[in-house]
Amino acid sequence: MVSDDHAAFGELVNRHQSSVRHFLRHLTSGDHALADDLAQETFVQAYRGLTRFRGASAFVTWLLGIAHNQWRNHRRRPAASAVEATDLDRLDPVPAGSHLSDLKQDLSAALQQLDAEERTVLHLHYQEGLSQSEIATVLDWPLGTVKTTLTRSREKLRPLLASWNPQT
Amino acid sequence: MEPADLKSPSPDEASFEAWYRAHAARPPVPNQGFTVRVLAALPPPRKHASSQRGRFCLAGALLGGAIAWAGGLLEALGRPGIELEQAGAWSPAASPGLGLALGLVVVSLLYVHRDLLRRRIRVSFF
Repeated sequence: MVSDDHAAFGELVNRHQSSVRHFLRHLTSGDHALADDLAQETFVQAYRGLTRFRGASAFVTWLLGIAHNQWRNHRRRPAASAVEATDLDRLDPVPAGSHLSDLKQDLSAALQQLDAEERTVLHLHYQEGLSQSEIATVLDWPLGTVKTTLTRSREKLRPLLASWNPQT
Repeated sequence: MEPADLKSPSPDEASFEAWYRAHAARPPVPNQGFTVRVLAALPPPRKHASSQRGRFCLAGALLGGAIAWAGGLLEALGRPGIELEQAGAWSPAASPGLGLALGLVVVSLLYVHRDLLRRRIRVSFF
C-alpha cells in the first residue's frame, strides 16, 4: 500500500525523472546503471529535504542541483575514482548499438573536443532548457563563469560543426 | 560590467543556437519502473504522535464547532416571537461568538493538515 506522501511524491518523480536521469547519464558519460543509482539517491534526498525547498528556483533546478551534488560526492569516493579512471575512458557517451546518423556521430565527436564542464553547461542549456542563472544555481558557479563557459563552448563547437549548419 | 557580446547573441550565434538545439535534442528517458524503484527506496512515511495529535485536534475542532452552532440555534429558538428564519440562526454572522468558533474550526483544520496541504499544493503546482 502506497501512502499519500509516497503517492504524491511519485507524481513528482514521474514528472522529473527524465531530466534528472538525462543529466546524470551525461555526467556519468553514458553509464546508465550508475546514473540511475545516483538519480534514485537524488530523489530520496529530495524527499527527505522537501520541506527545505522554498521555491526560490524552479523545482527541476533544485533537483538537478541535488543530482550534481550526488555526482560530485560519488566522484570523491576512492573506489569510484578508481573505477572511473579505468572504465570511463572506454564508455561511449552515446549508447552502444544505437543507429546514429552521421550528424549525431559528428555532434558526439565534436562534443568530445570540449572539456567536461563545457559539455555540462551545453547539456543544461540546450537539452534541459535551463537559463544561465539556473545553470549557475545547479552547478553552484558564479553567473559570469556560466556565461563565459557557454560562449567558449559555442565558439569551439561552431567550426567543428560548420559543415552541418548552413547558416555558418 | 558584462561584455556586450555575452548579453545578446549575434545573428550567427542565434542561428547556431537554434540549429544546435534542434539537432542535439534527445527523446525523454522512458520511466521503465524507475518511479517504483524510487518509491521502494523512500523512508517509510512518518506515522507517530503528530498524526494522533492531528486527529485529536480535528475531532475537538469539529465538536467545538458543532456545539457553538447548536448553541446559536437553541438561543434563536428560545426567543419568544422570533421565527427561526428571522433570527438568522443558520448564519454564522447572527452571533459573533458563533462566527468566531467557526473561524477557529477552519483555522484549526488548516493548521492540523498544513503539511498535507502544502505537499498537495506543491505536487499540483510543479
